[in-house]
Amino acid sequence: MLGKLIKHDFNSLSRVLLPTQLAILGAAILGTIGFAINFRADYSNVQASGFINLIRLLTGLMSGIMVLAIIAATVLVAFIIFQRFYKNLMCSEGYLTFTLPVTTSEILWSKLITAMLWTIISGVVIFIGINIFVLFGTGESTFVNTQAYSELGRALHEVNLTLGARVIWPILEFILLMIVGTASQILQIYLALIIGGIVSQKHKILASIGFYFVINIAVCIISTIMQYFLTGSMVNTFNSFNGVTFGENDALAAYNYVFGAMQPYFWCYFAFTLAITAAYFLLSRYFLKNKLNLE
Amino acid sequence: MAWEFSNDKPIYVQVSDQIVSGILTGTFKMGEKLPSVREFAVIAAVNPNTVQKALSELESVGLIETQRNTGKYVTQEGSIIDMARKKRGELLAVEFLKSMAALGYTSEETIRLLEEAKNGEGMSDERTDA
Amino acid sequence: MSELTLECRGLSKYFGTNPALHNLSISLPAGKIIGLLGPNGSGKTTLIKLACGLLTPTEGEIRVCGFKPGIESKALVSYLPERTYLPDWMTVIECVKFFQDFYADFDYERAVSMLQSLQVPANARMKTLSKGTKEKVQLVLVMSRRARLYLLDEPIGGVDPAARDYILGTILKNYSEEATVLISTHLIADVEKILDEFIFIQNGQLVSYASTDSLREDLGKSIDQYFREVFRC
Repeated sequence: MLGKLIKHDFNSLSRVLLPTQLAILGAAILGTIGFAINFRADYSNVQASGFINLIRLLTGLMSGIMVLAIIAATVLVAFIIFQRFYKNLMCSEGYLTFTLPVTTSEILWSKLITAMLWTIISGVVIFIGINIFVLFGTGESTFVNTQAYSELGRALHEVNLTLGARVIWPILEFILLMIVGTASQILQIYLALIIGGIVSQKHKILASIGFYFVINIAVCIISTIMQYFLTGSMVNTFNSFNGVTFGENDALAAYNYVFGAMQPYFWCYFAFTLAITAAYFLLSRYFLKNKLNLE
Repeated sequence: MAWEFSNDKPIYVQVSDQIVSGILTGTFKMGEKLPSVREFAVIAAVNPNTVQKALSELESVGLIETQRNTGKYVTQEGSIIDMARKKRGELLAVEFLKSMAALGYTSEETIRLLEEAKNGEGMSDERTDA
Repeated sequence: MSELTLECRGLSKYFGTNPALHNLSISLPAGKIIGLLGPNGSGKTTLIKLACGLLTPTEGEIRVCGFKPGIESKALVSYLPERTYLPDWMTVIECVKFFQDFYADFDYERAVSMLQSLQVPANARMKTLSKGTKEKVQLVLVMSRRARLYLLDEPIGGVDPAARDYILGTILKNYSEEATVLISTHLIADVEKILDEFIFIQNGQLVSYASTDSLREDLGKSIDQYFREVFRC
């Protein structure tokens, strides 16, 4: 059943979000063209004239629109995701959703997974857009800017030489943290929407915004308390760096030392975020199961 | 069209009566196959259990018989139908006399009225078209 | 062998201090069409929502075919709420496929043929349909399931007489000996002929539970008349 929920939720989001992604790509192409023209045009030999200025204005605008479009589309994606959640669970559609032969957990998992999928898709599309921009728009004298990529390739090669395969670990940890962090953000808003919708029949949105901040404050307080306990040992760790020297070319040893020292803190922070995320999920499920009364 | 029902008698009794009327007037002919319980329920717009009860009643007096695997049929026995007709007629007669008595007519006056109606103008054929 | 499709034992539901249902005990058998009748605010909708799993009891127990409200019971219950609840943006045929996807007991052909006979365009978005047509679509979806318990909340309210006949006819055509149909309504006179039994509920408490026939045989009254007596203002 979870698969079916995911399929339907994903399709209902795609219906609205696919056009936005195409808009991002369109804006990227537009901005690339504009920037490329502007960037490469040699204005020094041309008399200043109204026509030239107009070209500069238009191409400048195209680049500006690209940036705006990307921002707007990102906001829109987030807005649509949460709006669909709200409509599907807290309004009339709730009568359909909560009488389906699925568990509340499955409903929440489906909403979380589809939101994350779309966040990733949106991110990938923006990444592609940026790459189009860099590749085709920033070439100084060439049409395609391969120089940027070859320099990037060289830097990566250097890193690989020094650190080898163990560069995988920080990358993995970063990805893990990103995933859990994103889930945490999404679930926090979901929880705020749920509690807000239950507590206030008339002003659901306002109440939800209010509860979002309440949750934020609560989490801040808890994390501050935790940080307090960790501060002592963190100071010790940093102090221990004093007097430790490495040879000039011993980047590997330096990396190992620092990375190793940071590990416990990373995992503490990660565990904390994971626990908070789980708490959001369990609280959401509790409220939906026991306290929701659709009018 | 849904059948009409009054409020004072159980609906299954009224359904039963309506089916008997149908048999007596020829809407359901002798030996004819009756609609299924479900079909009856939809035609009359009543509960299938009610229809079932009504049909069981009629079965117990022999007006209807069930043939296994094919359904319910009006009886072929003309004598049973005649009995039913007689009973229904007697009932109507008694009720009619009662109604007229309530209006203040004696039985004799009532009978005389009937004679006049039979011989007088505006006499319509009382037999309904089969 | 008549299984009990709905069982309530000492069922209570409080919203804060407000007792929407109080100590309700009742058992509904399969194969019957039952009316859930009572004045506004008597607890009819609360009882239905509890049976659907949309609310959790404060006290007592409720079971559908032996299951506590959960995914097994939801697969056995077909619920028609009073309001329109299908997503606006879906087309009629998308809603049909949705039901087919989630409910194993859904009869796709039946739904399609009912919609055709009602002349509802399959590719119309729900948003574009009139209120009456939306309600018809919902009724078709609910009645195209081979469920064990049908919960119909005001299925004929706000609908013209011809549509009323059609809806009642659909309920009768769909009748099954293994299912219970519970109809909550104000329009008692319209619905009375198809009811086997009826429940009177007031202030969250059970007032009567009897059969239509016994009421007429014993008291010579229709449910409508009896209702007016019992709930006289």
